[in-house]
Parts: sequence; C-alpha cells; structure tokens
Amino acid sequence: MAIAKICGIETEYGIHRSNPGDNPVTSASLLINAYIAGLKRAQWDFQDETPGNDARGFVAGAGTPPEIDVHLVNAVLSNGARYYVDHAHPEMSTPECASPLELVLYDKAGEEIVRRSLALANSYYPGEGQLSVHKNNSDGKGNSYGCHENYLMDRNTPFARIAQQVTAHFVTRIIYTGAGKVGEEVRSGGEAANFQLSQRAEFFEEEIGLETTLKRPIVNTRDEPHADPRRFRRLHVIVGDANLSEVATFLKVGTTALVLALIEEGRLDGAGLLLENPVQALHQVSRDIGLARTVELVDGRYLRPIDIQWELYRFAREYADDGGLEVLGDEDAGKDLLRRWESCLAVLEEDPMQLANVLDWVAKLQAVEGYMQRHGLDWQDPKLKAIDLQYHDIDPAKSLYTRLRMERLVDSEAVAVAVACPPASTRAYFRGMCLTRFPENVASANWDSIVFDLGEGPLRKVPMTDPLKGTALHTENLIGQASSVEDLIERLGA
Amino acid sequence: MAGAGPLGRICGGSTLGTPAPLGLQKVAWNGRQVGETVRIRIEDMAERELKRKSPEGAARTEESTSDTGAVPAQNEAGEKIKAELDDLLDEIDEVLEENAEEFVRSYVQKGGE
Repeated sequence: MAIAKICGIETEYGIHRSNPGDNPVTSASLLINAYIAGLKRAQWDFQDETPGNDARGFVAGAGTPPEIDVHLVNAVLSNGARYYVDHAHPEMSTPECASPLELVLYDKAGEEIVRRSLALANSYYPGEGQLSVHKNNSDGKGNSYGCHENYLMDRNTPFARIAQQVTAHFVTRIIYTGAGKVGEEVRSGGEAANFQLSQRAEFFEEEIGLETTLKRPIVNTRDEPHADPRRFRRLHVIVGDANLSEVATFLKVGTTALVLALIEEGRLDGAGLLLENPVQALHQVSRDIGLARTVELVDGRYLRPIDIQWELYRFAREYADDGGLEVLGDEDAGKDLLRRWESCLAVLEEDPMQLANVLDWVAKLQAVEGYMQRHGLDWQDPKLKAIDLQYHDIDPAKSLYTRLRMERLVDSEAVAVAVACPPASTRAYFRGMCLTRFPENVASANWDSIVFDLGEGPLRKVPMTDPLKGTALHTENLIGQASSVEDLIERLGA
Repeated sequence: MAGAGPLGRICGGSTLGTPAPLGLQKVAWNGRQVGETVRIRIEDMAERELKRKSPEGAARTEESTSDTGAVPAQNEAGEKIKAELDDLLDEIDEVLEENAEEFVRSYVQKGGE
C-alpha cells in the first residue's frame, strides 16, 4: 500500500560576488548571516545524520565522518526550513510538506527568504562587492549544483523495484520540468546542442549510485530516512532542475509522488516502462527540443518521451479513480495536478511554445529565440548565455523570469506567511511553532527531533520519527495552552 | 530582524490556540487554482495579457484561465502574442546587465551537492 507522499526540496543557489577572488563560502555565509543575524535561532543538530548509508544495504566509507562541515552557518527557521552553507553554496531545505501544492508554496517562500537575505547583505556592504544569487543548476562552465527532491516511502517497498521503475519517469519528465539551457557543457560527441531542456541532464553519468558530486546517478541510493527507519525510507532525488516556474515545480513533485505511489502499489509491475539505456536517453531527451526522438525500451519498443509520460499518466488516472489521490495530502490539488499533467502533455504534443508562460524551458527558449531574431544573432552569441543566466537571477530588479509573467499557483500574501510560519500538515509544524513560541529554549533541532534547554537540568530531546505526527491537528492546542516550555515538555510526556 | 517581523503577528502570541492560526490552506491558493481545469492555450495567454493591462486584471491575472467566455480568433491571438513578445524583448534589452558578457565570463561556481 502506498503511504502519504510527504515531500520537500533542497535548493543550492548559485552565488557570485563582484570582487574577483572572493571566496564563495564566505559569500554564502555573508548572505545567510545577513538574514539570521536578527533571529533567535537554533543550531542544526547533526547527531543523527547518516548520508553515507546506501539503500542497497551497505555503508559507504564506514569509519569516516559524513561530508558535513559543522562549522558553517546552519540554522533552522520558524517556518520549519533549514538554511545553511553547503559546500560553496547557500542552500535552502523546505520544511516537510504533505501536498505538492504546499511544497510549491514553501519553495517560493524559500526563494523569498534568499531574496530578503540578498537585499540585506547588499545593504550592509554597499560598494564592497555586491552579491548576486541565482536559482539555477550550473555556471555554464561545467560546474553543477543541485536541486534535490525528497519523498517519503514505505520501507517495505524493495529499493530495487523503486530504482528500476522510476527511472523512465526521471528521464522523460524533463519535457515539462526542465529549466532550459543555452548550449552544452559536457561534450558527448555528435552535433553540439544549441539549447537543452534540462540544466542538469548532461551531468548524469550513472544509472544508480550513492554519489551526488561526481559520476552522478539518475537514481540516488542515499538511505537516510530522517524518520523511523523500520517504517520509512526517503527517496532522495538528485536528477531534477531547480524551477522558477510554479507549475513546473507542481508537476515535478506531484507527478513524481504519484509515480512513486504507483510503484509502492505494484501498479507498474509488468508495465514494461524500462529504458534500455537510461543515461544515454536522458542526454538525448534533454537535447531534443522538438520532443520527437524515440528512446529504446528493454522490451524492444521505441517510444517518444511524451509517449512514456502518457502511459504513466494513464496509470495515475486509473489510480486516482480508485482513490489514490489521497497520498497527495490534498485531493483538490491532486485533481488539479492530473488535469494539468494531461493538458500539459496535450499542448506539448501540439505546440510546446504555447507553454511559454507556463514552463521554464519554453519561456527561456522563447525569450532567447525572440532576442536572436530581433538582433540578428546566432546561437554562439554570448548575449544568449547572459539571458539564460539572468533568467535565474533572484533579484527582482534583474530577474528575467519575473518579467515573463508566468502563471502562478500561490499568491504573494500566502508566500509572505509561509516565510514565517510552518506548514500545518506535517511535523514541521511542531518544529516551527516551538521555535516561534520558545526560541530561547530550543537548543538545537533537526528533521526528526528537537532538543530543549530548560535552563537547568539535562537537555530534553523530543523525537519526531513520524513526519505525519506533530501537525497542527496534533499539537496546536498543546503548544497554545502550554504556559511555559517546562509545561510543554510535561504535556508531551517527554 | 529580517523575517522575524511577521512572526509575532501571524504565528505567535494571541493567535495561538485559536482555530487554524495560520489559515494556510485557506489563503494559500486563493480559491480558483485548486480543482479547476486549466486550459493552457493561446487564448488564455492573450486573455491574461488583456487583464494584465487593465487595472482590475492586474491583481488577479490567474482568474482568466478559468473563464469560459469568448475565445479570440487564432490570428488575433497570434498578433497579441507577438505584441507580448515584443514587450518582453524590450524589457530584456532594458534589464540585461550592461556588462552581461563580462558577468557571464566571471560567473564561476564550485560544484555542489
């Protein structure tokens, strides 16, 4: 049986400072510190992190510490998000959300927090080398950074089945999730690409593996559920692009959540949606903006990526008719998702350019092609790369995305609320509200626990190993009625 | 106190303990988005553009997609899209960084993840 698809997104932003030679780690710290300096904040608690565990059943680099620099800025925010420096990038992890639409809201709230950080940082250091921040996935010179999705799954579903059956979706969903890219960064032989659907696709070299920074795999095997490991796994998806389009994020998360539920239900067993050569197919699909080239399946069929998406859609439709949308946390949003998935595929089939106000890659392609025509440029003109990059600039004065009047799913008022307040539907609610209500007493927090400092006596750890417990429904009255943090701990029976 | 401002007002203090203090589900998707078929079509884009240019339409451009009213002819819609693209290209010309090419050259990131 499929379980609720609790989901979240981690986005590494590109950061650039106009002083040449500046250290990006310093820039990222400066950005985040500018925002959190005024907040009462808790430290992130690394004690339970195990990024080296492999879902295939072994531990990579056993005996060596995980790749985390605990000295860098790392904060948990009142909306339940984590905001930190990862490698050389500012990274925002949304709080856990129960529906894809809620996740769109928190992804946008994350963007807004980074935007506010940028304005503050640049006002603190005027003229000393202004920062710019981009929500993208590569620098155009062969360096890529990630936008990872996470989905809660039933531990009883064999990992091999997940990896085998989800791959075709990861390869073909880029026809609507791709963020678009001018040119190419990884030479693959054959004709050079002028434009690709995906920023990330060409950086993937393996079908499956634990790596995230080199030899990137389409299916990542990190087994770190941040929840009760006997009941849950967290599928850590590294193959996606960072989207500015709200519809693209909604489709990316919603369709993937549904496909994963289909896999849990065994509904894709025997469906034959298995690619003969997934890595090659991913590269090929990204380079085919006409969406016409077929990929080979294990059973000998040749299908276009959109044909595979139609097949997945039909399975999802049937599942929805049997009550399956429950796993998306919000049935209305689930119905909307299915309708958008269908209409998006229908329009892509007819004329993708009609989605220029809807999907990132189409918006970018339309802008770039229009600009080329107006100024008589060819694909090699460096101005096109400038348009590509500036599409992702999160500074509203520079952002091209905001000028394209893309369709929105969440309004600005709701985003402003989500900057400060957690989602009501998951344990992020308890985390965020404890930080709001008792900021002085939260010593540290991570995804599955909060540590309280009561001033005297030992620190008290409250475990939260079920992402669906600690919601507003469970804890709103509890937190509201607690007269003090001691009272709260007592009521929790911790 | 960036970001901390709204905390006390929206999440904390006296609103705690009252039903649904965040009102998230109610305010987040402003009604029409959930549960309505969205026709992603040329007509919608043209219509959105009209609304965008009218003062009333500016605040709620999304509503246009749920309308089932008059559908402009294809060529008329095509003209509007052209005009829209022209506006957009004007804007790109305006905001494209003066030193765009230099910026692209200097934009080097470390790999991440």
